[in-house]
Amino acid sequence: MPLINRVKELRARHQLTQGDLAAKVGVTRQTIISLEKGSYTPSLLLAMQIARVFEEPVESIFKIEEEIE
Amino acid sequence: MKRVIVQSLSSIILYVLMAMSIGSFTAGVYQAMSSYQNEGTLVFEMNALPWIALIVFGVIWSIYSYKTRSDHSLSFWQWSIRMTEFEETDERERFITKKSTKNAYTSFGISVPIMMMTFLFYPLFQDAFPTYPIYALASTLIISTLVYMTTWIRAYTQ
Repeated sequence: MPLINRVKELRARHQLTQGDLAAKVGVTRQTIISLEKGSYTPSLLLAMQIARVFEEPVESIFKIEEEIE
Repeated sequence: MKRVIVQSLSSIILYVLMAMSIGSFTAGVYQAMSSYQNEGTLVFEMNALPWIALIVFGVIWSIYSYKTRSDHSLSFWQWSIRMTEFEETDERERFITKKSTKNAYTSFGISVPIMMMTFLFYPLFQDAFPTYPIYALASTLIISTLVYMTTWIRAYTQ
C-alpha cells in the first residue's frame, strides 16, 4: 500500500529547502528527496516530526493512496 | 554513500592482498616441504611484495578511515572494533544497511555452498593450484562485500 505525502508542497509553502527540513527533523537531505519522491516510507517518529515542523496533523500530510481513490 | 563505496572497495582490496600474502606464504611452505622431501634440504622462499603491499595499504586505510570517522568522540580502540560501513546517519540509512546486510547474508548462503562444491575437484588441481582454498575463502568475502555495496548504492539512489 503506497503512502503519498504533501511534504514537497508544504515545504514550498513554508519556504524551506530540502536541506533546511532535513536539519529540522534530523535526517539527511537524501532522505527528504526520497520521501518527496514517494520511494521511502518514513517511520512514525519521522512523520510526526515533519508534522510538527509544518504544524499540521500527520494524517493531513501522509495518506494511504487507497484513501484518496 | 561515498563512505560505503570507499569502505567496501577498501575491504575488497584488503581481502585480495590478504589472500595474495597468505597464498605466497603457503606456496613457500609447499615448496620448502617438497624440496626437503626430494633433496633433504629445507629452503624457504617467499614473495614479500604482497606482504609489503598489505602492510602499506592497511596503515593508509586505517589512518584514512580513522580521520574520516563520523563520530569523532570515539577513541582509536573503540573505532577499530566497529565496522565503518555501519555508520548510518539517519533512519533511512539504517533501513538501507538492514536490507544490504540481508542481501549480503543471502549471498553467503549461495556462494559458500558453490565454493564447497568446487572442493570436490580440488584433488585434481591441488598440485597446480595449492593455495586455492585461500582464494576460495577470500572470494566468498569479496562476493558478499560487493553485494552489500551494490544493494546500498541502489537503495540509496532510489
